[in-house]
Amino acid sequence: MATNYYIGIGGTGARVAEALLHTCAAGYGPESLTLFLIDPDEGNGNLSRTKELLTRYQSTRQLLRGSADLDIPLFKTEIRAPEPLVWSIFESGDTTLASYINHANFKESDPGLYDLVNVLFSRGELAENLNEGFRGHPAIGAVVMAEPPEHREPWKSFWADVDAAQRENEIRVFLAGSIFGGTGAAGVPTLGAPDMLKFHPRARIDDQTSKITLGGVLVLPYFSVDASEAPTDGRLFVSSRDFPIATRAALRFYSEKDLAFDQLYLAGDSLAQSVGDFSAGSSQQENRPHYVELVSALATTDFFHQSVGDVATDRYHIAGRRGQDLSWNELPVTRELGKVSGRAAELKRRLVAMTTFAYALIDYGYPVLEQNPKEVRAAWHGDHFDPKRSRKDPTKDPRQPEQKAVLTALRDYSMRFLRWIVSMDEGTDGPVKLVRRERLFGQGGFIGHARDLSAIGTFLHGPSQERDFNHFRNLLDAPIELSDRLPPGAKYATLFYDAANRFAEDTYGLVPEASASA
Amino acid sequence: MRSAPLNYLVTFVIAGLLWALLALVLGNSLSTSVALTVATVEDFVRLYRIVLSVAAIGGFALTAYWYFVGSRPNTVGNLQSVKRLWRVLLLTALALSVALLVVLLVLFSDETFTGLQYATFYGALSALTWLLFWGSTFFLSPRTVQYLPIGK
Repeated sequence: MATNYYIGIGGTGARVAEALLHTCAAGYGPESLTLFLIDPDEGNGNLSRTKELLTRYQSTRQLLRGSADLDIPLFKTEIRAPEPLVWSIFESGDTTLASYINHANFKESDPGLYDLVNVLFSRGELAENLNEGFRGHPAIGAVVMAEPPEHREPWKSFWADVDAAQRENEIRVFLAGSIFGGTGAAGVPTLGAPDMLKFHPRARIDDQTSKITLGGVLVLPYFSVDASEAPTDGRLFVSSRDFPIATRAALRFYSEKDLAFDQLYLAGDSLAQSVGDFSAGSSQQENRPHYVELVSALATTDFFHQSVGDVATDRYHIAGRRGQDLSWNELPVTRELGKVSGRAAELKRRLVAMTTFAYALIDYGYPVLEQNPKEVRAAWHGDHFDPKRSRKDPTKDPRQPEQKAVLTALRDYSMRFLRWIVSMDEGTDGPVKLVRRERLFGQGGFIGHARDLSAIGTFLHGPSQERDFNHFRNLLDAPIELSDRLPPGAKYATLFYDAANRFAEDTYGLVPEASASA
Repeated sequence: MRSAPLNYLVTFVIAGLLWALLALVLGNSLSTSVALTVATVEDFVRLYRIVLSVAAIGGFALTAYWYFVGSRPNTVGNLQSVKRLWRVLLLTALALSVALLVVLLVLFSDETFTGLQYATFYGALSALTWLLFWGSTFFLSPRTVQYLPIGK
């Protein structure tokens, strides 16, 4: 089996990782994945959000699947992450490019090099404090990212895996970053250079073959930020007005340089929807999720879905919207034409089932756990969590602290998943037609079934039978055989996921699992 | 067994068998043991069977109504109020059994029965009303409401 590595570079790489984590939570990801991030701006809000989400993913998966052999796809992907998760590039804070390359020392030791540096970099670039990243200047990043430390994590684990690999293409590495910003624009081409990863002495087998299959997604401009808050202190920054020029220069670079990518995906959107206020970096740089990040995550899963011995030779894959709107059918799921409809159906089923599951667990499943079990008269509860049986054998009780922790973790992750998936929606007139935000979150926050019984059956853009929450509960009550060896927390989750899956099929006409795989 | 029409049919058959046992077999047995002063044995048996028929119809109707409510798609969202409904129906069946006993006693107010015979009348009426309702709903309630009957 291949070892899959996702390396997210910069804020966009972190945001694509967020989308990737959610698709994995929904059961659409690969079997296993190792993930790490590169960002000198450790305080970046996007990065913090992804780090927190990864921790939640791992702990939820461990609690849910650690001791249970589950039949449901939730949290199927085993995601490993080195410690530390982020290669922050600089060993100490307040680094500038000048201090990093010992620029002042060149003046006497190597005046020629000193002058060359002065030609290549402005004074501002040399003196810029890099705590908050490269502030839209990839030339700075290209210099400082050219020598990743092989003996320090996260690279140490990576190279250990490469060393352990025996066959061609056994390690699959996927880089994700923006082409138009600072860190991503510097990191993707730098790490894509032949000697950096693909034909690094530890990875190369001969001049033509390597243990590494190298893929990547170049995220083209897809959002805008409100630039009214741009810094006025003279420091370097990049705003969405600079994106097209930066992109043009970067694309020319990619076309002219002989980079080592086996497959490269390009994703972008010309609408440039706003994702929040301007921030050059730091904790304020936390933007609303965008569907292009989901598209980029789908490029990642497509890359990892290919079999080890079947590396495609076509190198560039491009995704963008044809029309004004983006619906489920427009999401690019694979470059393999024969598999498009099956994968598209699977993706939609997984995400819609996860959305339904998350809604039902938050709104109904978890509150039931808080009730006195004797007061819960629902058939599903009586069948599987009979209080008399739980009294005799506490290991069958989902209210035991250890089991409740499973469901608490699932509920907390579910809320993050819901917020993520609805955040891509921009309202009734918006171009993204995936999940309707206004059906699940309103003025007063989360819209539970007590507030709107039909919310669960009307959250999807597209045809719906508009079934209500009672239909979900009826599906939950339907008899189902579950192994007695399943821990009660996992059993609880399985019941809810199974009902959510059938609800999604009934209500939204999703292709049933068996039909899709046939 | 819990889904329509099977639960209706099984309940109907049980009610019919109970009626046959209590109205026909027990009725014949009572006709030989009661000491009547005014009414004839034929009148007693006929009226006893009519009262038991009313009890059986009432018991079946209450149970059938419970099945109907229990299988409605929206019932699952109102389990608390449906649970209250079950109790109301049980009390109704209980009240029906008492009312029919009173009717029987009024119809035969000129007669004197033994304590065991009074108990037998009430036992038969109970079997066809609240016991039929409780037993049938205990075992044959639609899935959504199967845990609502008392004792589950």
